Amino acid sequence: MRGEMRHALLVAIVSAIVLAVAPALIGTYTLTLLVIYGILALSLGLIWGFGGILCFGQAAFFGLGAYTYAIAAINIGESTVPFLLGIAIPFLFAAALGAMMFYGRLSDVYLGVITLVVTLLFFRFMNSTAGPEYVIGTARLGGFNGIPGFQTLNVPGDPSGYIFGDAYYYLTAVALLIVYLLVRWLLASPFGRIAMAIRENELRVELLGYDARARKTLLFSIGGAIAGLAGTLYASWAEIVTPGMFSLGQSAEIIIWCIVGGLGTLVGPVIGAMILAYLKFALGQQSVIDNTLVLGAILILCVLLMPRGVVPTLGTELRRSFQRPQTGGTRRRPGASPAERAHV
Amino acid sequence: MSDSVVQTRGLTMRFGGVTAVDNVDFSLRRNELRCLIGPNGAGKSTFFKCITGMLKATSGEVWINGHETTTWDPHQVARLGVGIKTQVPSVLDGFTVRENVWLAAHRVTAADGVASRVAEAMERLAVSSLANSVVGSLSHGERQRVELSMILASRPWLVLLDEPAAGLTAAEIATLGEIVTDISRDAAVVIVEHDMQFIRSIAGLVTVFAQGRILMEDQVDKVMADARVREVYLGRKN
Repeated sequence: MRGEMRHALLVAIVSAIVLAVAPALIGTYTLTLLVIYGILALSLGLIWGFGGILCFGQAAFFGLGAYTYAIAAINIGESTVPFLLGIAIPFLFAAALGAMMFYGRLSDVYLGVITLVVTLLFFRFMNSTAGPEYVIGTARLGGFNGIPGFQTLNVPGDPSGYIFGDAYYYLTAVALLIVYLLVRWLLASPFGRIAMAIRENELRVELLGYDARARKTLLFSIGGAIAGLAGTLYASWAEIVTPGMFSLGQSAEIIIWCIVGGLGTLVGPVIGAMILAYLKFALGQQSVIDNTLVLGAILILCVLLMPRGVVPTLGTELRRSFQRPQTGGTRRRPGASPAERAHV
Repeated sequence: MSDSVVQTRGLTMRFGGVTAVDNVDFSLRRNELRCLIGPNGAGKSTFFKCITGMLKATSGEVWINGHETTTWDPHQVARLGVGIKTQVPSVLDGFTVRENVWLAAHRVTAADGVASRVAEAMERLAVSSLANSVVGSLSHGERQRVELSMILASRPWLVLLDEPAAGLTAAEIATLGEIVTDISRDAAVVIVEHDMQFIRSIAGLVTVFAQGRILMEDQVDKVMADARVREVYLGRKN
C-alpha cells in the first residue's frame, strides 16, 4: 500500500504542477469548469471502473449536490454548512438508492435503467417547480429557470469573504487533488481491493464471506458524494443551478468522458472530462460544425482505435517503450492485474 | 441438533413443476469426509447450493453448527467458517494468484498475519511458483488449485466441494485426492462428485442421490457393489 500511495503522490505532484501552470494557457474561469468536470468524471470512474457499477444517472447526484447547496445557501447564508450538505445529501440519497438496488439483487441492466429513470425524474420534477408553492424555506425552486442569486462559496466563517476568480480555480484544483488522493487511498485499502474483486467475481467474494451488497452500496454512496461535491462547486462557479444539470445529455457526457479517458484508472476519466469538455467549449464558439457531431465521432474513434481508453492505452505503450522484455519462467498475461493498474 | 455439524430436515427444492431435491434428511458429523454421488439430474448440486445459500430451499431446514441457515445468503454461511468451491472454478481471473489467496486470508486473519497465511496456503496447494501470475492465464487444473488454496487460506472447519475433479487429468486427480485427504484432517468435507475413481481414492462415507432423494448411505465399497446404485447409474434392466 505504501508503494501505491507513493505512486499516487507522484501523480498528484505532477498534476499539481500542470494545474498550476495551466492558467498561462487557458483562462481560470474555463479551467475551473474543467476541473469540476474532472471531479465529476472521477466519481463515475470510481464506481464504474473499480466497482463495476455502470450508473447512467451520475448527473442526479451532481444536480442534487448543486441544488442542495443553492437551497441551503439561500436559507443559511454562510456557505460552510451548505457546502457540507451539498456533499452529504447526495451521499445519503446514493446510499438509499444503492441499498434498494444492491440488496434487491438487481442486475446491471436494471441498475442502469433505474439510475437513468431517477435522473429523468429529477429533471422532470425540477422543470415543473416554477410555481410559488415549490419553496424550501425561503428558497424557491424556480422550475425551468432554476435558482439564481444564492451565496457563493466564502471563506469559512466570513460570509463576505467570497472566493472567486483565480482563488476559486485553485480551490477547485486542490479539491480535485484531495479527492484523487483520498480515492487512491481508498482503492489501496482492503475495502478497495475487495470492491475490485466484487467487480471481477461477485459470487466468489460472497463465498469468501464478504457482504458484496453492503460494500457496493458504500462505494456507490462515495461516488454520489464526490459527484455532489462537483455539483456544489459547479453551483458556486455558475452562480445558478438549473434542471439541465439532471439532463440526459449531462449523464451521457459523464459516461463518454470515462470511456474516452479510460476505465480502470482514476486519471483517465479526469483527463477525458477535461479534454472533451474543453473541446466542447472550443467548438461551441464556432458555427461551422455541430459540436455533438464531433464529440460523437471522437467517441466512435476512441472505441474503435483505443477501446481501453486514452490513458490505459498510452500507459501500456509507455511501459512497452521503457521496460526491458521480461525474462524468467513466470507466466503472465500481458498487462497488469486490476490492483496494479489502479496505481494510475 | 445432535452431534451433526451439517443437518437438513425435509429439505425440498422445486423449480416450477420439477422437484430437484425431495424431502432430504442429511447429517454430517464433525471432521467427517462425505461424498455425494448420483447420476446427472439426481439433485446433488441443487442440494449443495441449498446448503451453501446459493439457492433458498422451497421447504425444509438447513442447520450448520447449530445455526439454522435455510434462508441465509452465501456470505453468511461462509462466515460460519465454511469453505465453498463451486462446480466451475470461481476465481478472480484478472487478479494474480497471490491477490486471490489474499482475499480469502484477509477476512479471517489479523493484518500482520495475512502474508504468512497466504504463503502457507499457496505452498500447501503448490501454487507458490505462480504467485504473481494472473489467474486468467492459468490452466484449468491450476485454477482449481488456486480456488482450493483460497478455501484453505480462510481456515474453514467445513469444506464443501462441488465436482473438484471435473476437467482434471488423471495425475491432477491423484494429487487432488491427496489434497482432499489432507484437508479432511482438520475439517469436515462434503464432496459432490461424478468421478468414481476419485471417490474410491479418498474413501469415506458415500451418500447416493437419485431423483432428488437419498437412495442409500454407506462405505464406498458397499455402495459400488449395491445393485440399486448400479441400476440408477446404468439404467433399469428389462
